[in-house]
Amino acid sequence: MDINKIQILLLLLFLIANFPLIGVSRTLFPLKLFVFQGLLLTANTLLITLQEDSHTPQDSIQKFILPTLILLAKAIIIPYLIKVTIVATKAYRETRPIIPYGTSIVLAMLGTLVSIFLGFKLNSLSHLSSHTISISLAVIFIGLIAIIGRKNAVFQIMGYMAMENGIFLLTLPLSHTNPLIIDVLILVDVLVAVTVRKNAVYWISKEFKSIEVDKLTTLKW
Amino acid sequence: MNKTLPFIQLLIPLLLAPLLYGIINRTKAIFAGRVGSPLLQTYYDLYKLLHKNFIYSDSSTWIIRAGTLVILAATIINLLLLPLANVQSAISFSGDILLFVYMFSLVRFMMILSGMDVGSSFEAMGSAREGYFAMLAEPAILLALITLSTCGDLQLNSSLSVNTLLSVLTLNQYFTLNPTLLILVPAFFLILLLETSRIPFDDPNTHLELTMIHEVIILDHAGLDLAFITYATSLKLWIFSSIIAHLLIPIDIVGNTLINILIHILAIFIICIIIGIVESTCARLRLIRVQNLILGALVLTFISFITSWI
Repeated sequence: MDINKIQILLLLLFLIANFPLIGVSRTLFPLKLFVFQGLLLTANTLLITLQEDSHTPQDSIQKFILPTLILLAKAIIIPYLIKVTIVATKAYRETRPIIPYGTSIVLAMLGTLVSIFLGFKLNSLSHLSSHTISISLAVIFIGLIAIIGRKNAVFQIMGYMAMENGIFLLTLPLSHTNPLIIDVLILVDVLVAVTVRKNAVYWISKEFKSIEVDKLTTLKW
Repeated sequence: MNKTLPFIQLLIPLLLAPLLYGIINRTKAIFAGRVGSPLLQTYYDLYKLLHKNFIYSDSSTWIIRAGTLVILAATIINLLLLPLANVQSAISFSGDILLFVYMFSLVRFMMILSGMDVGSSFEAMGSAREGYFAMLAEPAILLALITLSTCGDLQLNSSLSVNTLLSVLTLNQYFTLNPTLLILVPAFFLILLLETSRIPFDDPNTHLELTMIHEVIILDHAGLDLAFITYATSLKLWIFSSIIAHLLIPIDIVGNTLINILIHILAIFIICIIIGIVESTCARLRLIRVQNLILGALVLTFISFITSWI
């Protein structure tokens, strides 16, 4: 068993789990996959941190801090917050997306193709492996499509989270050069952003009886 | 590769293919708590149909007559290209995956034409659906077969024939967790369900006008024609299950050819049981959602295709 092969498999599952975000009308199914993505990210982080050699016992404890925090934030707290939003606003379905499902899937496939080429190009510039770069760029692209193509605000939160997952994946291999505090701060940042969005969406749905974002234009005066 | 057993790779599918429907229906019956029809029911049906006369609609032309024969002939040509465990296929040449894919397209084309030939708007509707879904599925099949050429040894695979593509996979590929292969298997399973019109895409038992795809096209076929089409569809089910069985089990798992063939047939039966389980536990998709699942199959093949690069 090659560690690299397992990592590629994890990353590919991560990419596949992102596609329903733009191809499905229900909100709860992508949310379940979002939990799955959190687990995959945790496993991926564990693989990366365990590869580094530890010198002191303190080092070996620190290896498990970041995966645990990712598990807490990305697989438990953030999905829970989004679920609360969905239940409170009854946003179980997207009715009419701006970009149709089929078109967005084809767009995402084109985006994945472009990210593969970008991955090959950027690979020579950095020490990151080309598959990490290409898959994180593809996931960022899918998140972007979800934000642009959907009217439902819950999908926009999830698209934002997908983009954030992609960016996180891109910075993950750098974690051993960074102090732990930076990763923790990023996680807290995301957590606060999701909480703020959750409350915003909730109050918008209370005020407007809908969370379709094009209704927000009536806010102008 | 063993060449001492000529025609066995043709004879076994021709004899056993109708049994697959029996296995699927028995699995569904067990899940529903029924006794179910006999395992050999499809054979009885075929026997009964073979003793009946031709009946054609007044408005039909020669197309419906020719269509049935072309469908059966094209399916048998595809059977010739397919190896059985480690028995080499009867015909094999470089680039025959194109023939393989487009013989199935010919089958579908003749099916659509003979559906429209009888002049019923009802069957034309089914033909339109079949054409639309086939248009989305065809790139998935071709891409999946091309992706297969990147698994295993590249030099051996460069001939792009179905025989070599399916026979170079070794156990080593599974121990090294080849990601391309692992993603390709579910993709092929989705393609199998679509091509043989099984439940998430199309219900073989329904005769409700809103939902039929395959059943509505063959509604005006009777007697011998219906027997030929049922037989050709069961052969198609055999061909696709056999591809998946080849992906799951390396051809030469034990030295003995006979045991290899038995293991292969057993794998095909197990795949049919899995189809039965899927049919009993899943609901048929709404017609407007079917295209999304086909796109899902396309996404899976696409990702396994790019996996071979990264």
